[in-house]
Amino acid sequence: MHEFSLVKSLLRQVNEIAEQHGATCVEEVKIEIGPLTGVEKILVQEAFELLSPDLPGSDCRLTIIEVPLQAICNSCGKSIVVQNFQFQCTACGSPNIRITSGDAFRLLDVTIDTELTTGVTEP
Amino acid sequence: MTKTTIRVNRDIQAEKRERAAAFREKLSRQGTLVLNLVSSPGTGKTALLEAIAKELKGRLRMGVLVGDLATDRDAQRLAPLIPVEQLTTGGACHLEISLVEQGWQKLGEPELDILFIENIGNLVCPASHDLGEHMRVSLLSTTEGDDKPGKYPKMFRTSDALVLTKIDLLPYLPFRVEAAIEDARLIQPDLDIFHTSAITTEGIPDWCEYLEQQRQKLVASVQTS
Repeated sequence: MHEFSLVKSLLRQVNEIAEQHGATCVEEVKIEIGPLTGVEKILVQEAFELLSPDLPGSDCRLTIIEVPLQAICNSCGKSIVVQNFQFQCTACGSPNIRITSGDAFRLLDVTIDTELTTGVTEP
Repeated sequence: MTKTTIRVNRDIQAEKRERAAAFREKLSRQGTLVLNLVSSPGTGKTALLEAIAKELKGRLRMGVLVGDLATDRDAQRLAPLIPVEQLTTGGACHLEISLVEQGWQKLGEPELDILFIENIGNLVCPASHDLGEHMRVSLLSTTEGDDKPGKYPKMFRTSDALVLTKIDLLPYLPFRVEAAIEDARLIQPDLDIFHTSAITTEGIPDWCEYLEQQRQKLVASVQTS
Protein backbone atom coordinates (compact mmCIF):
# COMPACT_ATOMS: atom_id res chain seq x y z
CA MET A 1 0.00 0.00 0.00
CA HIS A 2 2.78 2.46 -0.70
CA GLU A 3 1.05 3.60 -3.91
CA PHE A 4 -0.52 6.41 -1.87
CA SER A 5 2.82 7.87 -0.78
CA LEU A 6 4.27 7.48 -4.29
CA VAL A 7 1.29 9.27 -5.85
CA LYS A 8 1.59 12.03 -3.23
CA SER A 9 5.20 12.45 -4.25
CA LEU A 10 4.18 12.45 -7.94
CA LEU A 11 1.56 15.15 -7.37
CA ARG A 12 3.97 17.33 -5.43
CA GLN A 13 6.30 17.26 -8.43
CA VAL A 14 3.44 17.92 -10.87
CA ASN A 15 2.33 20.87 -8.74
CA GLU A 16 5.84 22.34 -8.79
CA ILE A 17 5.96 22.04 -12.59
CA ALA A 18 2.47 23.55 -12.92
CA GLU A 19 3.52 26.47 -10.73
CA GLN A 20 6.80 27.05 -12.60
CA HIS A 21 4.92 27.24 -15.89
CA GLY A 22 2.01 29.32 -14.63
CA ALA A 23 -0.57 26.62 -15.33
CA THR A 24 -4.21 27.47 -14.92
CA CYS A 25 -5.16 23.81 -15.30
CA VAL A 26 -3.33 20.46 -15.34
CA GLU A 27 -5.04 18.41 -18.05
CA GLU A 28 -3.02 15.24 -18.11
CA VAL A 29 -0.24 13.52 -16.22
CA LYS A 30 1.52 10.68 -18.02
CA ILE A 31 3.55 8.13 -16.05
CA GLU A 32 5.47 4.97 -16.80
CA ILE A 33 5.49 1.84 -14.64
CA GLY A 34 6.71 -1.71 -15.19
CA PRO A 35 6.64 -5.18 -13.68
CA LEU A 36 9.43 -4.38 -11.20
CA THR A 37 8.17 -0.94 -10.17
CA GLY A 38 6.47 -2.59 -7.22
CA VAL A 39 3.10 -0.87 -7.66
CA GLU A 40 -0.35 -2.03 -8.67
CA LYS A 41 -1.82 -0.02 -11.56
CA ILE A 42 -5.37 0.01 -10.16
CA LEU A 43 -4.17 1.28 -6.76
CA VAL A 44 -2.11 4.02 -8.44
CA GLN A 45 -5.21 5.08 -10.39
CA GLU A 46 -7.33 5.10 -7.22
CA ALA A 47 -4.78 7.09 -5.25
CA PHE A 48 -4.54 9.58 -8.12
CA GLU A 49 -8.33 10.02 -8.27
CA LEU A 50 -8.39 10.65 -4.54
CA LEU A 51 -5.51 13.13 -4.46
CA SER A 52 -5.55 14.90 -7.83
CA PRO A 53 -8.46 17.30 -7.13
CA ASP A 54 -5.81 19.43 -5.38
CA LEU A 55 -4.19 20.16 -8.77
CA PRO A 56 -5.05 23.37 -10.65
CA GLY A 57 -8.18 22.84 -12.75
CA SER A 58 -9.23 19.90 -10.54
CA ASP A 59 -10.09 17.54 -13.41
CA CYS A 60 -6.80 15.93 -14.32
CA ARG A 61 -6.42 12.74 -16.35
CA LEU A 62 -3.80 10.12 -15.48
CA THR A 63 -2.35 8.10 -18.33
CA ILE A 64 -0.36 5.03 -17.28
CA ILE A 65 2.09 3.59 -19.80
CA GLU A 66 3.05 0.03 -18.87
CA VAL A 67 6.45 -1.01 -20.18
CA PRO A 68 7.96 -4.52 -20.12
CA LEU A 69 10.92 -5.40 -17.94
CA GLN A 70 13.87 -4.90 -20.26
CA ALA A 71 17.53 -5.63 -19.74
CA ILE A 72 20.88 -5.73 -21.50
CA CYS A 73 22.97 -8.86 -21.19
CA ASN A 74 26.43 -8.05 -19.87
CA SER A 75 27.77 -11.27 -21.42
CA CYS A 76 26.49 -11.19 -25.02
CA GLY A 77 25.29 -7.59 -25.26
CA LYS A 78 21.77 -8.43 -26.46
CA SER A 79 18.71 -6.44 -25.41
CA ILE A 80 16.17 -8.77 -23.85
CA VAL A 81 12.73 -8.74 -22.23
CA VAL A 82 12.65 -10.44 -18.82
CA GLN A 83 9.60 -12.72 -18.66
CA ASN A 84 8.12 -14.11 -15.45
CA PHE A 85 10.98 -12.63 -13.40
CA GLN A 86 13.44 -15.15 -14.84
CA PHE A 87 16.51 -12.98 -14.60
CA GLN A 88 18.68 -14.54 -17.25
CA CYS A 89 19.53 -13.74 -20.85
CA THR A 90 17.04 -15.33 -23.26
CA ALA A 91 19.78 -15.45 -25.92
CA CYS A 92 22.83 -16.87 -24.11
CA GLY A 93 21.44 -17.94 -20.72
CA SER A 94 23.78 -15.70 -18.70
CA PRO A 95 22.39 -14.45 -15.38
CA ASN A 96 24.60 -11.37 -15.69
CA ILE A 97 22.04 -8.87 -16.96
CA ARG A 98 21.38 -5.20 -16.25
CA ILE A 99 17.79 -3.93 -15.99
CA THR A 100 17.23 -0.94 -18.28
CA SER A 101 13.49 -0.29 -17.91
CA GLY A 102 10.39 -1.55 -16.17
CA ASP A 103 11.67 -1.09 -12.61
CA ALA A 104 10.94 2.61 -12.07
CA PHE A 105 7.98 4.93 -11.50
CA ARG A 106 8.64 7.67 -14.02
CA LEU A 107 6.85 10.94 -14.57
CA LEU A 108 6.89 11.30 -18.38
CA ASP A 109 4.80 14.34 -19.38
CA VAL A 110 2.59 16.95 -17.81
CA THR A 111 0.04 18.66 -20.07
CA ILE A 112 -1.17 22.02 -18.80
CA ASP A 113 -3.21 24.97 -19.90
CA THR A 114 -1.46 28.33 -19.69
CA GLU A 115 -2.14 31.91 -20.73
CA LEU A 116 1.24 32.40 -22.39
CA THR A 117 3.42 29.60 -23.74
CA THR A 118 2.84 27.36 -26.76
CA GLY A 119 4.00 24.02 -28.06
CA VAL A 120 6.26 21.46 -26.42
CA THR A 121 8.85 22.76 -23.98
CA GLU A 122 11.62 21.26 -21.92
CA PRO A 123 11.30 21.74 -18.14
CA MET B 1 -5.57 29.68 -23.23
CA THR B 2 -2.85 27.42 -24.68
CA LYS B 3 -2.23 23.76 -24.12
CA THR B 4 1.41 22.87 -23.38
CA THR B 5 3.03 19.49 -22.84
CA ILE B 6 6.07 19.56 -20.61
CA ARG B 7 8.45 16.64 -20.98
CA VAL B 8 9.82 15.52 -17.62
CA ASN B 9 10.88 11.86 -18.04
CA ARG B 10 12.26 11.47 -14.51
CA ASP B 11 12.00 8.81 -11.82
CA ILE B 12 9.64 10.31 -9.24
CA GLN B 13 11.89 8.96 -6.49
CA ALA B 14 14.98 10.67 -7.94
CA GLU B 15 15.11 13.29 -5.17
CA LYS B 16 14.76 10.68 -2.41
CA ARG B 17 17.42 8.52 -4.09
CA GLU B 18 19.77 11.50 -4.11
CA ARG B 19 19.15 12.06 -0.39
CA ALA B 20 19.76 8.36 0.24
CA ALA B 21 22.98 8.51 -1.79
CA ALA B 22 24.14 11.53 0.23
CA PHE B 23 23.44 9.67 3.50
CA ARG B 24 25.36 6.63 2.22
CA GLU B 25 28.27 8.86 1.19
CA LYS B 26 28.32 10.62 4.59
CA LEU B 27 28.40 7.34 6.49
CA SER B 28 30.97 5.86 4.10
CA ARG B 29 33.35 8.72 4.90
CA GLN B 30 33.15 7.96 8.61
CA GLY B 31 33.60 4.24 7.97
CA THR B 32 30.09 3.16 8.94
CA LEU B 33 28.63 0.25 6.99
CA VAL B 34 24.84 0.62 6.67
CA LEU B 35 22.68 -2.48 6.38
CA ASN B 36 18.97 -2.50 5.55
CA LEU B 37 17.37 -5.66 6.99
CA VAL B 38 14.16 -6.65 5.21
CA SER B 39 11.80 -9.61 5.66
CA SER B 40 8.25 -10.69 6.44
CA PRO B 41 6.99 -9.98 9.97
CA GLY B 42 8.22 -12.63 12.38
CA THR B 43 11.19 -13.85 10.32
CA GLY B 44 13.54 -12.95 13.14
CA LYS B 45 15.15 -9.63 12.26
CA THR B 46 15.31 -8.54 15.88
CA ALA B 47 16.43 -11.99 17.03
CA LEU B 48 19.23 -11.91 14.43
CA LEU B 49 20.29 -8.46 15.69
CA GLU B 50 20.35 -9.75 19.27
CA ALA B 51 22.57 -12.64 18.17
CA ILE B 52 24.87 -10.31 16.19
CA ALA B 53 25.13 -7.87 19.10
CA LYS B 54 26.22 -10.71 21.43
CA GLU B 55 28.63 -12.22 18.91
CA LEU B 56 30.33 -8.96 17.90
CA LYS B 57 30.35 -7.35 21.37
CA GLY B 58 33.70 -5.65 21.90
CA ARG B 59 34.73 -6.27 18.27
CA LEU B 60 32.59 -3.73 16.40
CA ARG B 61 30.77 -0.56 17.38
CA MET B 62 27.16 -1.01 16.29
CA GLY B 63 23.84 0.82 16.37
CA VAL B 64 20.29 0.07 15.25
CA LEU B 65 17.39 2.04 13.83
CA VAL B 66 14.34 -0.15 14.15
CA GLY B 67 11.08 0.51 12.34
CA ASP B 68 7.62 -0.64 13.37
CA LEU B 69 4.07 0.54 12.80
CA ALA B 70 3.44 0.75 16.53
CA THR B 71 5.09 0.16 19.92
CA ASP B 72 8.76 0.35 20.88
CA ARG B 73 8.98 -3.35 21.76
CA ASP B 74 11.89 -4.05 19.43
CA ALA B 75 13.87 -1.09 20.77
CA GLN B 76 13.22 -2.29 24.34
CA ARG B 77 14.47 -5.75 23.43
CA LEU B 78 17.64 -4.43 21.80
CA ALA B 79 18.46 -1.57 24.19
CA PRO B 80 20.33 -3.71 26.77
CA LEU B 81 22.62 -4.97 23.99
CA ILE B 82 23.13 -2.17 21.50
CA PRO B 83 22.41 1.57 21.04
CA VAL B 84 18.98 1.72 19.39
CA GLU B 85 16.43 4.24 18.19
CA GLN B 86 12.84 3.21 17.45
CA LEU B 87 11.23 4.61 14.30
CA THR B 88 7.45 4.37 14.65
CA THR B 89 5.74 4.93 11.32
CA GLY B 90 2.17 5.08 12.62
CA GLY B 91 0.89 2.94 9.79
CA ALA B 92 3.31 3.39 6.91
CA CYS B 93 4.30 0.04 5.45
CA HIS B 94 7.97 0.86 4.86
CA LEU B 95 10.76 3.16 6.04
CA GLU B 96 11.94 6.10 3.93
CA ILE B 97 15.18 8.06 3.93
CA SER B 98 13.60 10.99 5.83
CA LEU B 99 12.80 8.69 8.79
CA VAL B 100 16.30 7.24 8.69
CA GLU B 101 17.85 10.72 8.71
CA GLN B 102 15.71 11.68 11.73
CA GLY B 103 16.51 8.43 13.54
CA TRP B 104 20.22 8.85 12.89
CA GLN B 105 20.09 12.34 14.45
CA LYS B 106 18.16 11.06 17.47
CA LEU B 107 20.72 8.30 17.90
CA GLY B 108 23.24 11.14 18.24
CA GLU B 109 25.16 10.39 15.02
CA PRO B 110 27.68 8.22 16.90
CA GLU B 111 30.89 6.84 15.42
CA LEU B 112 29.91 3.33 14.45
CA ASP B 113 31.37 0.48 12.43
CA ILE B 114 27.93 -0.83 11.43
CA LEU B 115 24.51 0.80 11.46
CA PHE B 116 21.65 -1.70 11.11
CA ILE B 117 18.29 -0.49 9.86
CA GLU B 118 15.56 -2.97 10.74
CA ASN B 119 12.84 -2.25 8.20
CA ILE B 120 9.09 -2.78 8.64
CA GLY B 121 8.18 -6.48 8.32
CA ASN B 122 6.93 -6.52 4.73
CA LEU B 123 8.32 -8.17 1.59
CA VAL B 124 6.68 -5.69 -0.79
CA CYS B 125 6.97 -1.94 -0.20
CA PRO B 126 10.43 -1.72 1.46
CA ALA B 127 11.90 -3.08 -1.81
CA SER B 128 11.15 0.23 -3.55
CA HIS B 129 12.87 2.55 -1.07
CA ASP B 130 16.59 3.29 -0.86
CA LEU B 131 17.45 4.06 2.78
CA GLY B 132 21.04 5.01 2.11
CA GLU B 133 22.24 1.47 2.84
CA HIS B 134 25.41 -0.10 1.47
CA MET B 135 23.81 -3.53 1.55
CA ARG B 136 20.28 -4.82 1.56
CA VAL B 137 19.90 -8.06 3.49
CA SER B 138 16.80 -10.23 3.02
CA LEU B 139 15.88 -12.67 5.76
CA LEU B 140 13.82 -15.76 5.03
CA SER B 141 12.70 -18.10 7.80
CA THR B 142 12.16 -21.82 7.47
CA THR B 143 8.60 -21.39 8.83
CA GLU B 144 7.60 -19.10 5.93
CA GLY B 145 8.06 -21.63 3.15
CA ASP B 146 10.69 -22.08 0.47
CA ASP B 147 8.60 -20.50 -2.31
CA LYS B 148 8.91 -16.89 -1.13
CA PRO B 149 11.74 -15.56 -3.37
CA GLY B 150 9.80 -16.17 -6.60
CA LYS B 151 6.66 -14.63 -5.10
CA TYR B 152 8.41 -11.42 -4.06
CA PRO B 153 10.93 -10.93 -6.88
CA LYS B 154 11.66 -7.26 -6.35
CA MET B 155 12.76 -7.74 -2.75
CA PHE B 156 15.17 -10.54 -3.56
CA ARG B 157 16.36 -8.93 -6.81
CA THR B 158 17.41 -5.81 -4.92
CA SER B 159 19.15 -7.70 -2.10
CA ASP B 160 22.87 -8.32 -1.70
CA ALA B 161 22.66 -11.06 0.89
CA LEU B 162 20.11 -13.64 2.01
CA VAL B 163 20.03 -14.92 5.58
CA LEU B 164 18.00 -18.07 6.17
CA THR B 165 16.74 -17.99 9.76
CA LYS B 166 15.33 -20.58 12.19
CA ILE B 167 17.31 -23.42 10.61
CA ASP B 168 17.13 -25.25 13.96
CA LEU B 169 13.49 -25.98 13.01
CA LEU B 170 14.35 -27.71 9.72
CA PRO B 171 13.83 -31.26 11.08
CA TYR B 172 10.18 -30.40 11.84
CA LEU B 173 9.28 -28.50 8.64
CA PRO B 174 8.78 -29.29 4.92
CA PHE B 175 11.08 -26.33 4.04
CA ARG B 176 13.51 -27.36 1.25
CA VAL B 177 16.69 -25.31 1.65
CA GLU B 178 18.01 -26.11 -1.84
CA ALA B 179 14.70 -25.16 -3.50
CA ALA B 180 14.63 -21.82 -1.67
CA ILE B 181 18.22 -21.05 -2.68
CA GLU B 182 17.65 -22.08 -6.29
CA ASP B 183 14.55 -19.88 -6.43
CA ALA B 184 16.43 -16.92 -4.94
CA ARG B 185 19.44 -17.34 -7.24
CA LEU B 186 17.21 -17.33 -10.34
CA ILE B 187 16.19 -13.83 -9.29
CA GLN B 188 19.54 -12.62 -7.95
CA PRO B 189 22.53 -14.86 -8.83
CA ASP B 190 24.97 -12.70 -6.81
CA LEU B 191 23.29 -13.23 -3.41
CA ASP B 192 25.62 -14.15 -0.56
CA ILE B 193 23.68 -16.76 1.39
CA PHE B 194 23.92 -17.68 5.10
CA HIS B 195 22.16 -20.32 7.19
CA THR B 196 21.47 -19.26 10.76
CA SER B 197 19.64 -19.94 13.96
CA ALA B 198 19.50 -17.13 16.50
CA ILE B 199 18.49 -19.66 19.19
CA THR B 200 21.27 -22.22 18.77
CA THR B 201 23.63 -19.54 17.26
CA GLU B 202 24.47 -21.95 14.43
CA GLY B 203 25.81 -19.96 11.48
CA ILE B 204 25.99 -16.71 13.47
CA PRO B 205 29.83 -16.62 13.66
CA ASP B 206 30.11 -17.05 9.85
CA TRP B 207 27.56 -14.35 9.24
CA CYS B 208 29.31 -11.98 11.68
CA GLU B 209 32.68 -12.67 10.08
CA TYR B 210 31.13 -11.73 6.73
CA LEU B 211 29.85 -8.47 8.27
CA GLU B 212 33.34 -7.65 9.54
CA GLN B 213 34.76 -8.33 6.06
CA GLN B 214 32.14 -6.12 4.40
CA ARG B 215 32.94 -3.34 6.83
CA GLN B 216 36.69 -3.69 6.13
CA LYS B 217 35.96 -3.59 2.38
CA LEU B 218 34.04 -0.36 2.82
CA VAL B 219 36.87 1.25 4.83
CA ALA B 220 39.43 0.11 2.23
CA SER B 221 37.36 1.47 -0.66
CA VAL B 222 36.95 4.84 1.09
CA GLN B 223 40.70 5.07 1.76
CA THR B 224 41.62 4.32 -1.88
CA SER B 225 39.12 6.82 -3.24
